[in-house]
Amino acid sequence: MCRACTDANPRRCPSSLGELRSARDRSAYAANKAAGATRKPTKARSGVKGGLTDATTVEEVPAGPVIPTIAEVRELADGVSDLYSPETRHSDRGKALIAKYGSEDRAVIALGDALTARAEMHAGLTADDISGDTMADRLNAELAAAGVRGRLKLDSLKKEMDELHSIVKSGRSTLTEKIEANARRNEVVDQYNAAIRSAEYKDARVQLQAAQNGTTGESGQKLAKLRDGYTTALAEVRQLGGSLAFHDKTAPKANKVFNEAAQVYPSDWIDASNSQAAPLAKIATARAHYSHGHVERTRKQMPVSYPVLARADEDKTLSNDAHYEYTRDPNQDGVPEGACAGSTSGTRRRRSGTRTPRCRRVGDGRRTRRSVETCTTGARRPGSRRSTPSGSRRF
Amino acid sequence: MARPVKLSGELISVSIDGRGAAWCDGIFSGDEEIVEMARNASIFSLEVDVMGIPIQADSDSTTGALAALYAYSPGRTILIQAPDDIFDILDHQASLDEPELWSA
Repeated sequence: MCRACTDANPRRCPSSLGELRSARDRSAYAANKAAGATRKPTKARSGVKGGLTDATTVEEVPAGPVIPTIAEVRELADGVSDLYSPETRHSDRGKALIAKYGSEDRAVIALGDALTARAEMHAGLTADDISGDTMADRLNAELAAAGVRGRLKLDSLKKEMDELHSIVKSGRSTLTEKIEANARRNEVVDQYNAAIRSAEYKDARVQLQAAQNGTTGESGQKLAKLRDGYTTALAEVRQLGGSLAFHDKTAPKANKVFNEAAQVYPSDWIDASNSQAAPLAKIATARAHYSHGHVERTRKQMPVSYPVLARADEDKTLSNDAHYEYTRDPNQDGVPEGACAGSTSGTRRRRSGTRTPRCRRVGDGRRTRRSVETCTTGARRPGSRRSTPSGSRRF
Repeated sequence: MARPVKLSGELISVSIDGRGAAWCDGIFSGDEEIVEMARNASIFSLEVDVMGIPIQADSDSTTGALAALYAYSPGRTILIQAPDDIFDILDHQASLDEPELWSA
């Protein structure tokens, strides 16, 4: 808390204290120095044997032309996994890795270098080979887009629009000026909209986007090769891919897209995901939402098996067919005692023959289209209310 | 009377992917994202895994500040400058088994 020196009880701002100022300057200087430490290593401290703490050993990470074998990469990957697991952190393999590389982080960097070497071997090219090409593609696309913008005079139109808008909104402008500026602004807006909707501008934008994504021309093909190389190299170390389980409401198109992407994820991750509640996948243009372990609820009517009053000699498995409200029984000719005939208002009716003399009982207690009161034989559904006799009093 | 400021002059600096951040006497400086994360970690006393040792972040102690600076990206942080005792503890593998050394 600081108070002005003109106050009755003035107090200097604590942040202006010499010690704190000095601390702030020192930490800022150290931060700047640290930012350049990895680029230009300097001996930070003498007498330190390797380890993460010595910046000079950053350059000693093994990498380069020697391509490791699959067995070597797997062993290194297993060792790194041991290092990051609390149970196996101090195992012999972990200790050997620390002794070799100095620290966990150095071991991870070495593993990354080994994987890169194998990926570039599979792809037949390196990242350095194509970085120049992709950059040139991007520059060319950006120049082309800038040329199109210049030809269509987009920037000058936008500037004019802004100026006219400020005149319209300004309190100093007269009413006549405002009306004229507004009319002119509407013309400029139409011109601008026509320009950005033109095919030329759209093409330039699409090409620029493709160049930025690295999906155009020769560099795009090279990048795709390198991507495949990395996928192959990772698959050598860890099993990739699998089938992600989604909720029934997921559209097939979304299912396909997500499962394509899942092929570059470790299989055990996919298994872990499948062990949880099935998520609902959607293809959306707006923002996405994700809730971990969310159980998707649905209003979809699931098939319900309706138990029916059936005779002892009847095949009861017929009654489990949920798609038909009536079960067909050719041996049954008449209405048995104690059974009732259902109404004919069902969605599916028998084409011919006698109606199955049977009353449907609704298992989940919901009211159905065919109510029990339509039964002609007087039998009623268990638990249903009797109709009130006329003249009787109800309480 | 204002509380007297006790300053030790100890300094910790780290580098994360070429970006630097540092702590000195309760003040974080450097890359904006790292510093913001370090401040938040110290405010909420976040427990950070510093090379396998869980440490509570704060802005007053050296070890707490180390944890706060590690909070942004523990796996990518490279410690550049720190007091000698911290270097000694980190450099000796045996000391990793004694987290009580870090609770000061």
